Order: sequence, then structure tokens, then C-alpha cells
Amino acid sequence: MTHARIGRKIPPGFSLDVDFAIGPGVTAISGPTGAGKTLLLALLAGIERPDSGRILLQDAILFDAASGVNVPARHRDCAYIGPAEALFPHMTLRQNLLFAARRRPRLERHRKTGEMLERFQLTAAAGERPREIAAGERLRGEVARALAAEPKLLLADDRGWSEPLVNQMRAAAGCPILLVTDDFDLCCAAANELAILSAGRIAQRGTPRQVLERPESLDVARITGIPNLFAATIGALDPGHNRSRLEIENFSLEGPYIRGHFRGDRVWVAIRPENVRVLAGDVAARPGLIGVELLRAVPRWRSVRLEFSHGIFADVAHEEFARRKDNKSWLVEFPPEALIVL
Amino acid sequence: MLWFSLRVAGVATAAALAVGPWLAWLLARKQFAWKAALAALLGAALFVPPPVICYYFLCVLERRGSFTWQAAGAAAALASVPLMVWAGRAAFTRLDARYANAARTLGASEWRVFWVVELPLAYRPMLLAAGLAGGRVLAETLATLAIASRLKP
Repeated sequence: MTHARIGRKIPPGFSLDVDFAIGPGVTAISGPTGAGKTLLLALLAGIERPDSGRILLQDAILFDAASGVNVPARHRDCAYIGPAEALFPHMTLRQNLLFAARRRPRLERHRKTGEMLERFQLTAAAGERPREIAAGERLRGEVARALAAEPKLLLADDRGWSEPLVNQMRAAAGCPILLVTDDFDLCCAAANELAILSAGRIAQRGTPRQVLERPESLDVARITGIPNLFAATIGALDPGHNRSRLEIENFSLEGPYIRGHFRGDRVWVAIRPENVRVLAGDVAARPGLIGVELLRAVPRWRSVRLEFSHGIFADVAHEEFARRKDNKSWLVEFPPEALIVL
Repeated sequence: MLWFSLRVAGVATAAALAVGPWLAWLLARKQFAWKAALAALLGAALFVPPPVICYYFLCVLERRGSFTWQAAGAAAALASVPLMVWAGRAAFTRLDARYANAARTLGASEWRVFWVVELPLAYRPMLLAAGLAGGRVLAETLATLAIASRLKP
């Protein structure tokens, strides 16, 4: 079992307090800056010391505040890729890898080093110093070096991970990987699990799609990039028709029935911008349509993000926007099934 | 007289090179009891002006009748080691700890971290400091001897 329960205070004001098991495969960690992602990795690696808690790696105790056990970093078998580049600048790439594989017998060490260099397409650059090779090669070199030590856990801070590299990492590592990244596409593609860290706490965890589709708190909704967040009062609840009425400052919405709440409760309503339905101005009025004013249209790679009054954001396809650009009045509609009530 | 001074300077520089990097590394990287006191002592030793050291050379060593180059070298080390330690401490402090941390997570002992990672990355300013320390000791010893020979014909 690999499990970490860690408490650490950093005055003034910040405290990290997490309790989670690390499963096999890739566990992604996301969160805003200052959430404690880097600190969490440093605590697991043994670079920093927790104030309280207990860290187990494959049932071996690495840290236990109660009994005062604190295994030093060099005996932890946790490879660590920090937030900044740390290939030794005075050694060639091959020497860097040999440094990591040092505890193995000579032949085995050279075999492992050669294998890792080949796996990460670094054979040509093996004789070069880090400053003489490209940044991408340096990053791959650091991953290769970390894995040449044959760790029991790989800790990888956010270094702009790309999907192919993470897949290579997965294939080459015979151990769980803890990966810090803010790229949710990458999480869905390559991670088995996603944990959202916010202000030193794990706000939510689950499979990446679970977390992204069903955020459980306002914080997670914000961190996963939902701009449409509204404070609402429940105006009516109708379990029979699976309906509810949500009163928001300037408009009201039809929503699905909300379990565990009463009329008059304050809740947060979130909806992804791609789920907001945008209609041209000359549609017959019907309940649920909200008249809005277009404030800004920001083009993006796959869609245009429309910024309406009342803090409503909607993503529409480029062609669709091109057709309706000259609209005088705009209407938006929130499909009840796409509403997320927090 | 010059040969004597050179030997003194050599001993003092060797002492600085042997002890300096270690002390510098401990001061820059480790926490231990009396660290502040040690740092203050080394700082104070750095700021003792050469004439004072000259004077004590003569007083202490001549009275004991043991004014050999070894003894003078040991005394001169008091001036050279602090210089080395301060330069080394600055060099190690400026060196980002990430290299050492990476080495530790890869299973390197503190001994290996020092010799294989941190010292090779920070030795340049320390070599300069060793040169400076040697020069300072050489000049002081020569001055001391010149004064001594004048005083007692």
C-alpha cells in the first residue's frame, strides 16, 4: 500500500493537509499556483519534512511523526523531477544517468543507462553536457535519469508535460507516477486518476472525466475552468417532474430537481460555456430564454468565446459566429441537463 | 626570508583548501548547534587587520621560542581559513539546492553530494579565495619578518 497523510504548516497562513492513497499508474495533481503541489512532492521525496502524518511506500514507512521516523531522501527510492531543471551541468547526459544507476553492479549499470537513453531517444546526445542540448532533450534526460534509479515512486512536478512523453514515462516506469499538470486534456488521455489540490487540501479526486464533468465544489469548478458560475436561490422544487426553479440575480433558470436541498436554499450553479445555447434575436419568446447583450467576442483555436452581460460566457463555432456577427439582440438558454448545481 | 614566507603561505593555503570548503558547505547548507557563533567567529577573524595578526605572531611565537615556519603557518591559517570559508559560503549559497536535492533523491550520500555534485559546481570562487588567502598570508609574513629583523639587528 502506498499512502500519504501529510500535515505541514508554513507561516503565515498556509497549511498543507492531505490524506490520499497512490494507486498504480499515473495520478495527476492539478491546482492553482500556491495550492501546495510542489511542496507536496518535496515532502514525499524527503526534501522537506512534514509536521505531522505518515507516509507509506509499498508498506514501508518513510515518515511517521508519531514515532519520529524520517527516512532520508537517499533511502526513499522516490525519484523526483523538481519544478526547475536539475541535470548536473558539469556532467554529460550519460554521466548523469550513471550517477543515478550507481548502486547497481557495473555491467548492469551501463546496460540500464543505455536502455534508458535509447527509450527516450537520447543516444545521440549522450555525450553532451546539458547546456549543449535542446530543452526538450534535457527534460527527457531528466526523466531518463529519474527512471535509471529504478524508483518505487516517480514524483514529477509540472514541467509542461506532453502526452507522448507521459506515455513513454508510463511505459518505462515500473512504478506509480505522481504527475503535476494543469493540462486537463493530458489528464484525460494519460492519467488514471486526477486530484484537485486547492489551498493545501485535496478538493476532489476521481477519474479525470468524473472530476471534470461533475465538480463537487465551487473551487473545483473554478479550477477546472468553468467561467459560468452563478449564486442562485432555489425558487421552487418539483421532484415529480424532476424540475426546479433557480433564481439568479438578473434572471431565473429551469433546472433539474436538486436532491438534499429546500426551497430558499442558496446554491451555486455552474455550466460549461460550450453547453450554453446561443440563439438569434428573432426567436419567439419562451420560458428559459434570457435576453443578453454581447460585450466581447474572443476568438480561440476551435471556437469563439462570447462574453455576455450578467457574467454569461458561451463558446460557439467560428462559422456560427460568422453567420450571426451582426445580430442586434442575443438570447441564451441553459439546457437543464447541463446545469451543475454545487 | 622569502622561502620562509612562501612555506608559511603554502601551509596556510593548504589548510584553507582542506578545511574551507567543508566549513563553507556546512555553514551554507546545514543547520547545527552554535552555527551562528561559528559564523560570527569566522567573520570576526576575517576583519582582524593584518598588523594585529603580525603583532600577535611576534608576541606569542617569539616568547615561546618556537618561531618555526610550521608554527607561523598554523597561525597564518587563522587568517586564511576565514577568507576561504566566506568565499565558499557565498558560492554554495548562490548555487541552487536543486542539484543537491536531485542527487539525494537518486540515492547519493551527503559525502557524494558534496564531492561529486556541489563542490565541482562551486569550486571556482573558492580557488580565487585560496589565491587571495595565500597572497595575504605571504604579504603579512614578509612584513612581519621585515619588521622583526629591523627591531632586533
